[in-house]
Amino acid sequence: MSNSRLFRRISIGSAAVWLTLFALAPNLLVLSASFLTRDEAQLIAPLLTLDNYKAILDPLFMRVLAKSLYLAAGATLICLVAGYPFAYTLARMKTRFKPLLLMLVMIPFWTNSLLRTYALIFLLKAKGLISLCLLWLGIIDKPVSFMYTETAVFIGMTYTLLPFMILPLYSSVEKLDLRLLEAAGDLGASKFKIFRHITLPLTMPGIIAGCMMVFLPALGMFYIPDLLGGGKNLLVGNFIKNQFLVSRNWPMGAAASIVLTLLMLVLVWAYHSSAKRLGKKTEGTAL
Amino acid sequence: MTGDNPIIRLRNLAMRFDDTDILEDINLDIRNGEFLTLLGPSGCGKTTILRLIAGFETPTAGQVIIDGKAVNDLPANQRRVNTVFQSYALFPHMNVYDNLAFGLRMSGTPKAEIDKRVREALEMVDLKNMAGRMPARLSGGQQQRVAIARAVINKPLALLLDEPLSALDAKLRKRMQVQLKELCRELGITFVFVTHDQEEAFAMSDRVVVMNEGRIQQTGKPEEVYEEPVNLYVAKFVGETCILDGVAGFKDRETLHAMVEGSPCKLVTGRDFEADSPIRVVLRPEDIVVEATPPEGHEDQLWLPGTVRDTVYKGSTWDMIVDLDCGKEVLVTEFFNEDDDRIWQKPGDKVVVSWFKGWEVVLPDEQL
Repeated sequence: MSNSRLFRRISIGSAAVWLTLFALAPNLLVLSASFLTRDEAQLIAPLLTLDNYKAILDPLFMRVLAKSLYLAAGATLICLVAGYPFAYTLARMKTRFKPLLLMLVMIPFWTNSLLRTYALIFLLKAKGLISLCLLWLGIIDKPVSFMYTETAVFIGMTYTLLPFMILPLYSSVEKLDLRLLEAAGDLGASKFKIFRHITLPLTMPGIIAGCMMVFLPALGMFYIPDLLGGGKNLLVGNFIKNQFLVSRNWPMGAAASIVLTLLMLVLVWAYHSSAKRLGKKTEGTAL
Repeated sequence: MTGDNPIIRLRNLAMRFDDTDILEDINLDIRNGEFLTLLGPSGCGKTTILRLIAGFETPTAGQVIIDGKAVNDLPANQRRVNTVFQSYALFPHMNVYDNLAFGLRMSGTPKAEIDKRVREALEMVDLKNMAGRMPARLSGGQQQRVAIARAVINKPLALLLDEPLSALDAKLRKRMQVQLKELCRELGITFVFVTHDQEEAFAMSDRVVVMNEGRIQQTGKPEEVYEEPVNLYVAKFVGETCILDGVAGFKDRETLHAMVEGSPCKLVTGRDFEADSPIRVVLRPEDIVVEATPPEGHEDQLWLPGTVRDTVYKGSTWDMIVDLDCGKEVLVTEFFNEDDDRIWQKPGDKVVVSWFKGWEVVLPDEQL
C-alpha cells in the first residue's frame, strides 16, 4: 500500500519537476521577456513596456500571421485528403502485414526532419529527380525548378506532417464497428451515404485530432519555408526565429511567440468545447 | 401463416470460404408471414444463411430469390429485407429518433411521413419517451427494441433476426420472445430468426429448420421436429433424450420386433429396417414410465431395471435421473400432482423403466 503510494509520488513528482523546469520556467521567461525592452549590449533591458505588443499589431506582422494560417491550413487540408483514404485502407486491410505497413509510416520519423527537408531539395531543384523524370518522359522540354515556390513549401510541410495525420485517423477508423456500416447498408444507404452519415461522423474525433496535430506544428515550422520557400513565404515561426537570431530583438520575438501560443491555446480550447457541444447536441435533438 | 407462397426461396445455395464448406446444398422456401427459425450450434452456417438473404455475402453457388426475383447481384441496400443484428448495431452518434428515421431518410420519405412513422414505431416498442436518448444511455432491452423498431419501420418483406435475444437476461428474454411472436402476427411480416437455443426456437416459431455443419437436417413445425426427429443428430440437439441401442428383427405392419438393450421387445414405427441392422430407440424424458415393479397388464412391455440416482423437484415437474443396469442413464420428467397418492421414488430405490407405447422414435444407427 505505502509502496505503491511512494511509487506514485515519485513518478508524478518527477514528471512535475521535469515540466516545471523545462516547460513552465522557459515559458515564464519568454512571457516576462515580452514585456521588457530591447538592449543592444545585453539583449534585454529590465524596463517594463508594452511596445513589443504594439509593434506586433503592425500590418507587417499581421500579414505574416495570415500567411502562416493560410500555409498551415493548406498543408492540413492536403494531409487530410491524402491521409484519410490511406489510413482507411490500412485500417481495413485483412493482412498480417498491417503492423509492418504502419511501421513504414513511422520510419521517416527516425530521421531528423531537417535532413529530410534537405533531401527534398534534391527532388525539387532544377536538376532534381522530378524535373529529370518529367524531361525524360517528354512532358517538359527544359528543366523546371520547383524550389522557392509556395508549392514547394506545401510539399515539404505535407511530407513532414503526414504521419501525424495518418496515425490518429488510423486509430479512429480501426475502432469503427463494421456492423454499423452493414446496418446502414441494410437500411438502404448507398456506399456514399454510408460514408457521409456513418463513417465520417464516427471518425470525426480522428479527423479533428489529426488536423490539430498537423495544423499547430505547421504554424511554427520555420525551417521548411526557409529552405524550400527561399524565405519568401514567411511563417510566424520564421518571424520569431528572425527576431531572435537575425534582428536580435528578443523581447519582440518573445511577444510574437506569446501571441502564437495564445492562438494555439484558443484553437485547442475551441476544439475541446466543440467536441463537448457535439456530444451534448446529439443528446437533446429531435424532440 | 398466410398462404403457401414463398416470399424467400433459397435454391441449391452453397458457400465456400478458404476451402471450407460453410453451406452445402441449401434448399428452403420461407413462406410469407411465417415465423421461421434457423436452429443449430454455433458454426453450423445459420448466420451465413441470414447474411446471404440480407446481401452481406455472395453465395459461391445457388440462388437467393426474394419475392420472385433472383437477387444474387443486388446489394444489401436494394433488398427489401431488414436485419436486427446480434449486437443491435445502433448508430452511436444518433439518438433513438434518428436511428429509427435512418432507413426512411435513405429512401427519401417526406419529413411529415417520417415523423408519423417514427412515432408509431416508438409507440409500438413502448419507447415513446426515449426518442431523444442516445443508444449508450439505454438498457440492453431498450436497445433491443430500438433495433427491432429501426428494422420494421421500413416495412420490409422479411425481418432477419440474428440471435437478437442472446445478450438479454433470462427473464427479459422470455418476455421478448412473446413480444416478437406477437409482433410477427400483428405486422404480418415474415420473420427469419437465428438461434442456437432450442427452447427459444420452439417457443416462437411456426417452423424450425435444424442445421448442422452447413446442411439442413430437418424442417418442420416444432412438434414435428421434437416428436419425429428424422435422424439422431436432430433427436439429440432438440431437447433431452435417452437413446437405447438395439437390433432390428422382422416387421409386421407398424410393429417392429427387435432386441433392445439385450431383451426382445415390440416397437412402433413407420420406418422400414433391414433385419439384423442396428437401430436406436429415442425416448424423451416425458415418454418414460417409472415403476417399482412391472404393473399388471403391461408385462409384455420391455421393463429395464435400474436404480434412482437423483430426484429434482422443479415445481411443475418432478425430474428423476435413473441409472439403468445396462449402463445407460435416463432422465425422467413427470408432471407433479400434489393430490397424486403415488409413491415417489427416492435416490437409491430399485425401479423398472419403460415408456408409453408408441411414443418412441426408432432410427437407424448412424454412428454419430
